[in-house]
Amino acid sequence: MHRAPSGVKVLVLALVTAAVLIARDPLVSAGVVVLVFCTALVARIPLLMLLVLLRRLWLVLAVLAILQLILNDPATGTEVLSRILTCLMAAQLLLLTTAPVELVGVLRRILAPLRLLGIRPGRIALAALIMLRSIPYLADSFHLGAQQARARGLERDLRARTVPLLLGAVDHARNTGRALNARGIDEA
Amino acid sequence: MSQSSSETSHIAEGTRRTRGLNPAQDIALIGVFAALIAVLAFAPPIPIGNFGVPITLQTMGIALAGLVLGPWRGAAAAALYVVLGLLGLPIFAGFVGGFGVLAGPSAGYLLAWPLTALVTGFIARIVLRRGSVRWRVPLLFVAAIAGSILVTHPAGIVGMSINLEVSLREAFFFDIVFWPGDVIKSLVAAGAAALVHRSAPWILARG
Repeated sequence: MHRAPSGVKVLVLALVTAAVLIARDPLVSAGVVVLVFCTALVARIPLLMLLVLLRRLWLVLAVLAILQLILNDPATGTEVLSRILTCLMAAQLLLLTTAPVELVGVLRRILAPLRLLGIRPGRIALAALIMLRSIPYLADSFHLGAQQARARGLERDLRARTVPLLLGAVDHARNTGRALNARGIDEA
Repeated sequence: MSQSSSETSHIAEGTRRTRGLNPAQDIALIGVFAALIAVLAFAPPIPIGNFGVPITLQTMGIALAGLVLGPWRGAAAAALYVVLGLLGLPIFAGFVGGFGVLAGPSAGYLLAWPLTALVTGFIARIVLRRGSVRWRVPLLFVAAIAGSILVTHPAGIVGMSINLEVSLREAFFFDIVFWPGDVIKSLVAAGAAALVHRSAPWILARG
């Protein structure tokens, strides 16, 4: 599973998701969940890593379950919840077995036909890689900004917590752009 | 009047020229702002104000992309974020990703975001080029809230109604929960964006 071509994995995931969304049948959803678990076992991924999803999203799922009980009959509610959970589980499996950079490669291949329209897929892939690279940097910056806001007693002030992040992001983009220019990478 | 219009056309001309000369800077801005949207989506809900109502920041990143980068680059940043998330990067709120989110309640909101950034960006560009500096913050607020009301919320309501099997009316009532937070986020985003355009005019020059 880890070694399977990432393009194939993305395609399969898309098809499975489409099938679950169109079928709208708890039996189909349950079948897909079993399939996902079997694949995970074959790929030697601990099932716990799939079920972590439940812990992370339990609040959303609980709210949805209550709303469904109020607004719809239990059967529809089961169907809605099973559909959402199944699709998220299948997506989680892809996530656990694929490196982010591979996904950028997939994006590039999907976008290759855009070349005919005069858009360069290489540039989009470059933007995607810059995005991946920037996430840890900006996450640190956001965390730091939150600490500074707390130190000033402004932890409830949205502006104090987001403006430093935004200015840091603009600065980072400026430096990245200069670095790309300096290396002549604007013709990707 | 004629002078101002010639000025605008001059700016537009300069825009095209600089953009042709420096696509690397645009690529960097698009990539970094897509990352900014992701980081804001990760942030746990922040209690705001005296009542401590928790607010999630995802949509603020979208508004900021439109307000700061303008329509095309803003929409590109939002689209990059949504497409990579759908392909499977865990960059949506709650660290989920993949086509699976299309089954969830937020599918409509997610798919609408590139268009939201486009609408917000167009209004913001007009405001920044024509509007007086004094009215900048309120008008940028209008741009942010317009994108949200015209695009994000209708799409989100339709998405919830389809995925949760509820009527549009019921979905509309779920949606109302997000309105107060939206107003606050748009206000802060407008102020922050005005600050950026003042301190980093090089972005505007190509906006």
